[in-house]
Amino acid sequence: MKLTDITVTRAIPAPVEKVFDVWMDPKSPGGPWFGAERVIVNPVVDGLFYLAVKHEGRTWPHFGRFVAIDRPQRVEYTWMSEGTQGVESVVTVTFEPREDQTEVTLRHSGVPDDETGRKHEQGWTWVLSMLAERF
Amino acid sequence: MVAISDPTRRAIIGRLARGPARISDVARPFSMSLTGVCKHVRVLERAGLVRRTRTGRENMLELSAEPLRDVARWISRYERFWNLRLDRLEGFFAAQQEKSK
Repeated sequence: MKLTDITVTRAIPAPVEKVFDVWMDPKSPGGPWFGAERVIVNPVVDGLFYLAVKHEGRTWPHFGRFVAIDRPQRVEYTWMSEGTQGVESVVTVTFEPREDQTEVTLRHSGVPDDETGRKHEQGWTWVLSMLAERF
Repeated sequence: MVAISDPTRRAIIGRLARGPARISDVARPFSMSLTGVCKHVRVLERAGLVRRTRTGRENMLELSAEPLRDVARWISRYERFWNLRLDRLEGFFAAQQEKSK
């Protein structure tokens, strides 16, 4: 199975410690676990989580294990779901101070490169060819 | 080719693929000035990829070419999933900052 990586990044207007703590706290609004249908999180190294997310009218369960927790710079956990086709993918989140803000970079690696991924690639190829025609 | 060859411009298109946005919101994730981002936006405008509309004092940006809106569909499921969570995290702290002012 071909695998791919996804990286998203965002500047958050708060200090790193605060952003890290919200990210790790399942009860904190604004955190990635908040508002899910069911959340069980044990945020320690080798701790497990269960996250049931409602999307498009059905429930998508996710499971994982915390691999590394280095407050406030970095957290890493494995991630398995229907979306990963049972493959143990890895989510790494880093928190870097940028003046009075925090740059959050999330890398989700080892995600199956399914049809959606290939379409993405086709999309950019199409964009490039369209531009090549324009210039 | 020029318009899309730059990673910042590709990131701007990626952001707009999630829907129209204010120019300041588009600029926020980049570690460059608003003026710098505006220059990239102008390149994309000239290439006919991005359209700017003015609502009051706000400059709104959106993808202009119809097929480009389909970019949204190419963005993988998890890219959307994580971006939604980062939107929420950002919104949460932005609201806190407002409150403390």
